[in-house]
Amino acid sequence: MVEFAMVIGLFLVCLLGAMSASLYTVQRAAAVTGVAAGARVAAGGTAGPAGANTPNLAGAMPAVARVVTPVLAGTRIRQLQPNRECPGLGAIPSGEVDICAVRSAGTVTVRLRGRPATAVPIPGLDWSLDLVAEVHAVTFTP
Amino acid sequence: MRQSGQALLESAITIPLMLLLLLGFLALLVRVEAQLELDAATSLAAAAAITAPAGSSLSVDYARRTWTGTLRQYTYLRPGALEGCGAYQPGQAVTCRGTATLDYRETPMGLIVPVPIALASVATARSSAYRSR
Repeated sequence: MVEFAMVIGLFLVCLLGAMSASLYTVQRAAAVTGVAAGARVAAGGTAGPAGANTPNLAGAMPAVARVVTPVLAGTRIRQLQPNRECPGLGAIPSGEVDICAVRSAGTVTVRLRGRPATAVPIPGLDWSLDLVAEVHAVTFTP
Repeated sequence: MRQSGQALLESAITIPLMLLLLLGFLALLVRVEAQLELDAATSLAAAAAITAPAGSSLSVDYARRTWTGTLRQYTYLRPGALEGCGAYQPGQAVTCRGTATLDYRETPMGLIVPVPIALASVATARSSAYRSR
């Protein structure tokens, strides 16, 4: 009886772990696709004078949010101001992800960082996301 | 007494088997995820190559910086080589081929997959026919 209870208990832990990992993989996959999409938007330039060589940081974050919103159900998605770094993972509350786009030298970095809400929460197993896409901004020589 | 011994033996077989199954499942998820990350980085590299002025050797530099910059965040994925991504003419396509190695050996999943796995990805981006410089 004790052995049976142990096996059943372990089976349920394994099942929950596998379900939680699967959901996390889906969320992570969407986040990878999202930051890549955001980086492409950011690298594309903006309208206006000298816009061809100016990365579209403001347009990157909504592009990321569009991709990840359907998958990160129940998660608060915060789009930071353009050119503002994401806070550290410890400073982001559980159930929230931050999206930021930063320009440094010729490259644009789009990052999604945080702890998404999960449908199968397991105590002690805190799935976090910290994904980045870095791309060289479009360059036209005068 | 004999029944108890049999149950113990069954548990001793079942428990490790279940843990191995779980680790195998996790290894499969990480493999899929790694391929996705390599595909995204290679695709961005190809996109970066065509952001350089047409006909410029900067295409390779832009693509390489983009590729390594994106992949360096993923600790379990070791970037290999990025090939292609050369200079292009307006309207032409640029093709990048990236390789990386997925190493499970420093994680419990190393029990299931004790050898590094080679991953490869190909991505193409077409430049605008009206690209000036």
